[in-house]
Formats: sequence, structure tokens, C-alpha cells
Amino acid sequence: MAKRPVVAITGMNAKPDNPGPGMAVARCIKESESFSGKIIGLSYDALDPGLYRPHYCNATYMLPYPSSGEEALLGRIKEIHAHENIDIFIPCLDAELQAVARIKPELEELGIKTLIPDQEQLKLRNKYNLPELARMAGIKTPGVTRVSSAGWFYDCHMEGWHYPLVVKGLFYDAKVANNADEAAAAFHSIAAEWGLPILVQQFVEGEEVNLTAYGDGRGNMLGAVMMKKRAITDKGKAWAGISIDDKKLYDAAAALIKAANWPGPLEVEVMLDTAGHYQLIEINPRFPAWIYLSVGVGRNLPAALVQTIMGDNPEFKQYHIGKLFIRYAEELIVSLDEFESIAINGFLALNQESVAN
Amino acid sequence: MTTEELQNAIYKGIDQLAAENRIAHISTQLISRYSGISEGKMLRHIPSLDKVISKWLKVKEAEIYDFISSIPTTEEALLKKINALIDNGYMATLLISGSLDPLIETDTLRKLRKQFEKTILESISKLNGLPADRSTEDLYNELLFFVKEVVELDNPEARRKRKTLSNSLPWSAESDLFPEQEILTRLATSESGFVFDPVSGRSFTANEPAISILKILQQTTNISTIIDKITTEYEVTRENVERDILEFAGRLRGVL
Repeated sequence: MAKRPVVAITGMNAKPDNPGPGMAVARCIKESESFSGKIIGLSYDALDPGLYRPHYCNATYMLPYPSSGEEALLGRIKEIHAHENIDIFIPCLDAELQAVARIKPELEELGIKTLIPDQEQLKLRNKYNLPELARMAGIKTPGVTRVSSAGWFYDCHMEGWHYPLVVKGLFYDAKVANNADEAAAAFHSIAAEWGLPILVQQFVEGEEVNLTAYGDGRGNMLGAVMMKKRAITDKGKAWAGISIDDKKLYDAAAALIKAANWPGPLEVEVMLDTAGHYQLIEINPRFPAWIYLSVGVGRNLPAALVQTIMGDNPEFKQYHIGKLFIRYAEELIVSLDEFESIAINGFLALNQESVAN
Repeated sequence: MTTEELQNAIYKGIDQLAAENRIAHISTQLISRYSGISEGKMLRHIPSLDKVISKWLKVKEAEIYDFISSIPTTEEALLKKINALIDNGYMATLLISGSLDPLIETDTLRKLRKQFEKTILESISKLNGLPADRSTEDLYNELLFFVKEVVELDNPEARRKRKTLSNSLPWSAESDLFPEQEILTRLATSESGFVFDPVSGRSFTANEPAISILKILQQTTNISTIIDKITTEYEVTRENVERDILEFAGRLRGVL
């Protein structure tokens, strides 16, 4: 990589039960031998730990919430760009992807490169459009429907739905409901946090396997890494996992990327049901929070993405099977000055020398 | 809809209920849902639930007698009959299942099951190459237990057994004892007893004899060959090795 690129990364939140991928993506790039640029961490909440971690970011900035609209987002990125001269922008949160896709032309005009799906491609992976995408790729997927009233759960058997069902938010959160009362409670709790509509998916019993990779936008899948969850949080997020090599999962993900001509990172969540069939559960249009496992297995995907965006052709070697990751929580000590800087100025320069020492 | 059409629709609904092994919870509401006839309409035309079931059973009794009266004389014919029974659904429930509604007349059912046992016992006694160490009754019970699991349960083990029955009787299907050869071959084993499946990500630990068996299993799943190899290498009796292999096979099926 000739230039020392400045890479801006969102999603620096890291609540233990449901961490964002931003810190892990920054960590991967920072630890890559091929990278000598700067990393800018972007966040929506002053208590996001990634804002204060000099090990991963050189500087961090606050962004306006996606609900403020893309003009506010673009305006803020322009301000940050004026200070940092950003080369690459890697969005890491589902909720911001549509807005970033819409401002992509303006980002390119500013000289900020991205590799992300366009709005149509994002619609394809929407949870309620999954059956169509799965059909295009020749993979099974459980039925899904949109629900706007909790009353639906008491009559859903008339439409052929049977419990258990998975009640999901449009962007995040999923709860398994075994009866109408549990489903209605999940509906209200998810709707209060993520809004309507709520999605309902038929529950699939089995084992979840995940794949992360990125597409080149011409139908090719680059650098896949596969993982089986070995321990999960209450929200079903991976707390420990092990790298695997599953050809059926690889072929299914490659078919999905080809069917959608997918550009940029993604995570494919598949359930191996008790009959031995693969059922597509979800596609996330970003790297997963467990992406650091890609470094562990010798295939640093975020660093490779940066190389691809910069016009290089990263080499992908066979990765290590049977490598585990185990997540843990620890406390980060933050000075009042640092917290004040983020809260008042929405900016913090992180002292890189403190890392070296 | 004529009375006959209505009756046929109701019987079809009960067939389906029985096929899904839900007959123990039968109710007019369930029959209504399965037959597509509204509960009100159904109750206007039928005197009571037990009378409907009794009439339905009368119709089925003739069909089942017809099915079980002929005795298969070859392994292929017996398998064909067993598979037809499982595919038939309601017939399998009536002849095999343990969970039935108290409204089902026990005398009729007992008679049908007795005839079924007689037919299958006679069929087994006519087969060639039966295991020498088990009686015809033992083999009948083994087959009945096998089919019962297939009919009553919906889990991987039941599905495995269903697959076995598509081409083998339980006692001729020793190779189905173990997970597929492809899975066994890809397992990474270490001398410490740690075993890892690189495709599913599953891992487990096994003791030294189990690891020895596993290493042989990665080459062959023929029980006689495995026993020969182990008795040559270790000072153990064939009976003990066979017992260990069967126990380990059960564990492998559980973890892989």
C-alpha cells in the first residue's frame, strides 16, 4: 500500500452483550503490517469505549444520530474530513447503511472512498426480502412477515404460523417466543427500542454457523472466514466461537454475493437445521463484531478491504481451522478531560505514545 | 355438500390427525380445523365425537386388515410393507403408536395389533441370514421399537432410523451405527484424546481405547474388521470390544 490512508470507522460501541463491530475492525486494521495510516473512530454516544482507546484509533469524533438525516451526517463528515483528510470510510452499523449509501456520491466527490452496497442491494438483504434473495441464490430460508400490531400473534395460526416464532426488530434485536403472550411482550419491547414494523420469522431449530467476507461488487466473494458460535450472550450474540471450514456454507454465501453482485463487507448467518439443511437467517451488510477472529486465523479481512479499496489485490492464504475467540469485558479508565472533550467538542485526539509506553 | 361428502371430509381430517400422531388430543375443534368443515356445521350433522371416531375406525379396520393379512416372505417385501406402513401415517399410528385417544375402541385395536404382530413374526421367520444370537421375537421387538421411534419422534436419530429403514432392516444395518464415513474421515484427533470436527466446529474428548477405535473407524466402519484389529493389538475379548464399539458409536452419533 503506497499511501498512508486515513480510514474512518463507525460503530465504536461495545456493550458486552451486543458489541458493535467498529472497535474490532479498527483493531484488525491497526495491527496489520500492511497498514501505516491513521484510524479515525466515529461514534454516536459519548460513552462508547472505542472513543477513548488509543490502541485502535488516532482520533475520534461524534456523529449525529442516523435519525437526524443524511444532510446532518454529510455535514459532520465534511467537518471531520476538513481536519483529517479521510481516504476511506467503513460504516459498521446496519442502521446507518441506507444513509451512507445515499450520500456515497457526495463522499466520492470529497475524495472519500467506500465499498458498500447501493440502496437497491441493501433492500435485497432487508430481513423481509430475504426469501427473494435466498430464492435467487438457491438457499432455503424460514418464512418472514411484517407485523404492526401485537394482536396478530393471537390469530397468526389462522395464517399458518406456529410457535415458536422469532420476533425481530427491523435493524437489531431478536427474541424467540413460544406463545402469543411471549410474542406480544417481545413485540412491545422491541418496538419501543427500534420502532415499527416488527418482523416475525419462523423459528428454525439447529446450529448457527456464520461467514464473513466482502464482495468486490462484480459478483466475487473475497476472503471468506467461517465461524461456529460456541457460547452466546442473552441476545444470542457470539461470546465464544471457533473457526470452521464448511464448504456448503461457503458455496451458499458465494451464491448470495453473486446473486446480488454484493460490494463490501457482509456477515451471512445460516442455521443448520435438524434435518441437515442450511437455512438463511440473516445477512448483515457489514463486518461482524467477531471480525478479529479473521486476524487470528491469518486472514485479516478489514486490512484486506482497505487494500482493495486502495486498488491493491490482497492475497488470501488458506486460513487456520480450529482457532477460538473468547470475548471478555474489561473496564477502560477515562479521564474527565477526555470525556469532556467528547461531550463538549465531539472530538478527541488520542495519544499514540501512551500505547507505545 | 352432500352428507357423504361431508363425512368423507371429516374422515380425511381424522386420517390427517392420526398421521400427525395427534389423535390422543382429538376434539371437534381439531377435526374441524383438519377437515376444513366449520365446527357448527359438523356438530349439526354428527351425533357425538365418540360415534364419529367409532365409525371412522370401522372404515379403517377393513383397510388395515387388508394391508396386514398378506405375509411378506423376503427381506425386500418386508421392508416394502414397513415403509408403506410408515408412509401411510394413520395406519402406523393405529398399529404402532402408544399415544391414542381413550375413545378409540381398544378391542378393535388389540385385534388389529395382534394380527400385525402375527404377520410380521411369520415374515421374519421366513427370512434368510438372520442373526444367530437373537430369536424371532427379539427381532420383531427390535423392529417394532425402531419403527415406533420413526413414527412418534421428529429428531435426528428418528430421521436416521427412517433413512435406514428405506433399504435395511435394523439388524442388517450395522454401518448405520456410525456417523457418515465422510464425517469420521475429516475428524482431527490428537494423542491427548481431543477430537475436533473442522466443518461443524464441534469438539469432544475421548479416552485411549476410544481414540484407537476412532482411528480405525476413519478407515472402515465394518465391525468385524474393527474387532479383528483391536483384538490383535490389545489383550481383550471380542465381546468386550463389541460392547465398547457399540457404546462409542452411540456417543459419536450424539456428538457429531
